[in-house]
Amino acid sequence: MRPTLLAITCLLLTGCTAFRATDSTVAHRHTRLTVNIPPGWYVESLDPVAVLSRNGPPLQRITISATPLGRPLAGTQRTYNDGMLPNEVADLALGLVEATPGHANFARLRLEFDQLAGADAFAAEATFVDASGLPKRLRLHGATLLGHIIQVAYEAADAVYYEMDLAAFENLLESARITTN
Amino acid sequence: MRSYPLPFFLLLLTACSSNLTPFGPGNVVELDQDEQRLWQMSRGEMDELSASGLRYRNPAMQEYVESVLETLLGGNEGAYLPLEPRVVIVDVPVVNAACYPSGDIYLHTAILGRMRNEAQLAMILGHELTHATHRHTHRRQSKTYAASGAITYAAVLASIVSGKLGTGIQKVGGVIARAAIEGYGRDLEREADRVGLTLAAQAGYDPAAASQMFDRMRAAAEKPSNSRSALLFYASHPRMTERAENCRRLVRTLSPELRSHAKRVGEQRYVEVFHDLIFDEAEQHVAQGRFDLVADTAAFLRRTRPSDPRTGVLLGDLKRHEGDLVGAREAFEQALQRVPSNAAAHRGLGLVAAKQGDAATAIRHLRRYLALAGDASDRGYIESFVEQLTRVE
Repeated sequence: MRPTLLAITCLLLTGCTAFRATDSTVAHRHTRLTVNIPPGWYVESLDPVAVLSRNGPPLQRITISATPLGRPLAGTQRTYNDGMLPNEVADLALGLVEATPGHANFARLRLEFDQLAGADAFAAEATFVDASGLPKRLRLHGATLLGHIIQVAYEAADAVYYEMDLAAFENLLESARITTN
Repeated sequence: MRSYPLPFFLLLLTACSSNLTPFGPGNVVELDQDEQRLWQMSRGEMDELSASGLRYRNPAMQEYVESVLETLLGGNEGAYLPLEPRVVIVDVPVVNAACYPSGDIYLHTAILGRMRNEAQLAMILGHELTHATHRHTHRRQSKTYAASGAITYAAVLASIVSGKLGTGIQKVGGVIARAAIEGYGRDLEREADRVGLTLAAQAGYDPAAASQMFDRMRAAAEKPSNSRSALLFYASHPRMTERAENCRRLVRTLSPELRSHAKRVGEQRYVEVFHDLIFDEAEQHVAQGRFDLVADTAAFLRRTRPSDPRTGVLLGDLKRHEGDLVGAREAFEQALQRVPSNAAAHRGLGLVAAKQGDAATAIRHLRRYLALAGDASDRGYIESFVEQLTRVE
């Protein structure tokens, strides 16, 4: 069976997207990282990454991804590896955002130590101009958890939306946890 | 009045403009109406570009590129009138260069960071200059009109004039439009390679060293991971491999007399002027994970800038990313031996020592980094990291 057909069959039979959602939560199937969906936000997609938004992804979005350690990454020869310090994970993650086609004027504003779902993590903030010319502000939090690099990112139009929805993002971060079922 | 079919007019237009006399010594050239309009529009765009804030203002670099252009022109700029060639550096982190019909050559900072010597700079200036002297924009616009009709021609001109694209990179792409993004088509690009290489050789530059420019461009462009470059750089030019090969063939066709006279490479002078841009490019490649290119640049800098502490930091970063912590530590230590106050080397050494479990060394160097680095964006992280290491110790 062709891989594409296999994937579609799998999707139809089991609904095996990388993430699954309930009315109030989104969870990664493999690591069981779970976050609460902010009130008023909707789930835009669940595969390969979870994307949440309130007014539409071009204006503001929260993206949750889980990348297995060692998996080849598009756009770089580097990979996430076991034993990387949080700053090394941040360097790679931010480098990928910077190298995204159409992104310009990328600036790293700060990098901090943080916790994500109980694990040592980084918290980074950056600004850039996206492919449509819109100035964006980014918060990116990442940690190594259960053989994956977990990243939770908040990206919004810098002018109005970033500040407006920042509290919703921080609440979502606070809610991040590893569930047992 | 008799009505003629549209293709008749298009044929006339093409016939009128396909064999244009180039600007240059011995040639008297008058612009036709279409070309005058093209120049007028180009000047408007050049003004817009000048006002965009993209101009890279570095007097030493500016003086240097102008001197190479003067050498190419043989001190005979007046012979090219009404063309007035000049060169402008724009701060755009994507490898590219372009030329306006009236002779303004735009060099991106990224292409200056990619090249390695003055002969390569002469080659690219010669190549771009040829697009202007041989009136390629005019020839290509006319061809486009003839092939596709007025809508496409108007669309091309509108895209050049509008310049309403948002970002810095797109702005440069927008104003120079198809010529900068797609090139001028295979035949005209080959002509630019041939004339540019000959100009460089006549000015005394080693054509073999000059022709290696395309190998360097190919090395950076051919990998799919280098997605940002793919946005702009010579997207429809003949493939870089073919162009590099074509240039090597061209070198062989130059007269033995000319080849024996053309020996200037100008590596050391080039590196003295552009080392900051070369380091910038290497750092960008580190971020992109292009370790093959980083290794190439590091080897080049070890030879040409051995005492520059940034060379040691680059080597340390390369080895750290390759997992060679011992080698990385040595490189950072050597950089600090040369310049004890190099913040980046203290940071690198501190992080490598932490990974090696040497908390005391890590704390000492990371504290030194914090003292030297001022308002570094990772200050908060390093402070927390030092606290954590102190608790562990």
